[in-house]
Amino acid sequence: MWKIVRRQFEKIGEINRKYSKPRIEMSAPVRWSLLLLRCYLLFLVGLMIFRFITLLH
Amino acid sequence: MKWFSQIYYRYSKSWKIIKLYFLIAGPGLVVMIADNDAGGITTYAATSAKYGYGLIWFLLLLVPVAYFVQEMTVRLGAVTKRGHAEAIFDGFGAFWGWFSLIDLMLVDWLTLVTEFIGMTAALRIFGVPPYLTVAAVCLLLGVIVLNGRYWTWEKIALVFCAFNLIYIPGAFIVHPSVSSLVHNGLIPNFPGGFNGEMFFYLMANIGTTIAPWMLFFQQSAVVDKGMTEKDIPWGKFDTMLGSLVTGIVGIFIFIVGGTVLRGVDIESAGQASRLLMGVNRYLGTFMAIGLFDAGLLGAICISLASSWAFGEIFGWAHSLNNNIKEAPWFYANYFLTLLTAGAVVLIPGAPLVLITLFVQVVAVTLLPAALVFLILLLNDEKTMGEYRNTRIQNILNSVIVLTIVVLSSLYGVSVLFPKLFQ
Repeated sequence: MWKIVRRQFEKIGEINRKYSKPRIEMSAPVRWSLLLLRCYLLFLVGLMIFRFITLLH
Repeated sequence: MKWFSQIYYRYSKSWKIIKLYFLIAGPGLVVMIADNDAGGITTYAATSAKYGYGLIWFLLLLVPVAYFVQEMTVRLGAVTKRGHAEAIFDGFGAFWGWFSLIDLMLVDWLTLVTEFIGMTAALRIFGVPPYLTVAAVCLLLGVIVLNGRYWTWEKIALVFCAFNLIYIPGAFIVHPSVSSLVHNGLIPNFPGGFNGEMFFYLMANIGTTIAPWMLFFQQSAVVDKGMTEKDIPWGKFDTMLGSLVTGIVGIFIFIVGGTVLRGVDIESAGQASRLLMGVNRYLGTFMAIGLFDAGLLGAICISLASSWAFGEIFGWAHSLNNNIKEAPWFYANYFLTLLTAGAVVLIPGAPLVLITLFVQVVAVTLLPAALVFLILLLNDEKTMGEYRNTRIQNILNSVIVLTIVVLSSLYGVSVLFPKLFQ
């Protein structure tokens, strides 16, 4: 069992190495799109955390 | 005689085209019809009960929107021979890849729970206890995938797609007013004005039309089917036909709900079926069968979308053409997703309403990301070559994606803060 779990963790490391560099050329529009996406997701996660905290109170 | 031979030639040519289509048909039709899943049926029933035929025009507007978004996955899958998850990992790196994969797993699992909620509610109308429904569905879906061939799985899924048409005779039973249908349904209008509640219903309809799992599912299905660049026109046609069928089925559900349930607050499709059973036994039965079928189709596709995505990334054998010995992890993932989602519905007092709401919020985080990645990947000239987006496609798709991102975000916010839109 431990072997299987360890193998899967090794696999995750392998995947991270395999896809460490994005293959798509990071042109200005691509970089801007990804930056906006990060901002958007941070905003959404922030909203969810805020909602969770207000629900707890 | 010449006239006769000409007719025979045209007939045999048309028949050949139809036969060829049936060979290629599948991913587009299945994904589009499965889009009318249990959650979708509930949304249509609730919207039509609230606004009658008033928003049919909006549903018609969503048909090309769904087509343009899903058509991109056909091209991407056929050209790269990679599923959507792998394309994101490869194109944007591990961070965005893991984000998409984990989010997909979560949203798929939660959506699968809602499919089980729909199926158990539908069969409860016929006196079938939920545990029996869950066990029978898991067994059935197990048998369907374990036959060891993608082709057989797809054709069985298409048979279930045909059951989705059961709403059409239902609409004839209620004798809708055609003139009211044309005047109120086909001319764009917002019954009762454009307010917070109307906005919520519009968003819910968009949310049921474009879902993140659909992008992942169709691209993986295109790859598993072995479609290549030369099959793209057929794949597009398949997707167009699917979007038309799903729109037509949606309209017929609107007709049933708008005629019989007008003014009733509908919270679930199961409740709508029970109410329709009181109006007309056949109508209620059609609705319940349709709801069960919708949940089943959704479950067939959603559980596969996750397994395909994980198989692509972890490098497991992940084709329906592999048997269980050849692809143990793929099938383990499939059954784990299916069985755990089914089990949740059987937990006494499980927060099913909360889960249904949570699905929408989680889907909102994945949808914009998946759509943005899709457009960027379709513009990668090195990979897509002549199949990359044209300028017109980019303008059209960017407008669609921007609108969906803005509206679905507002929908997510409205689910989190319902009072904000009242």
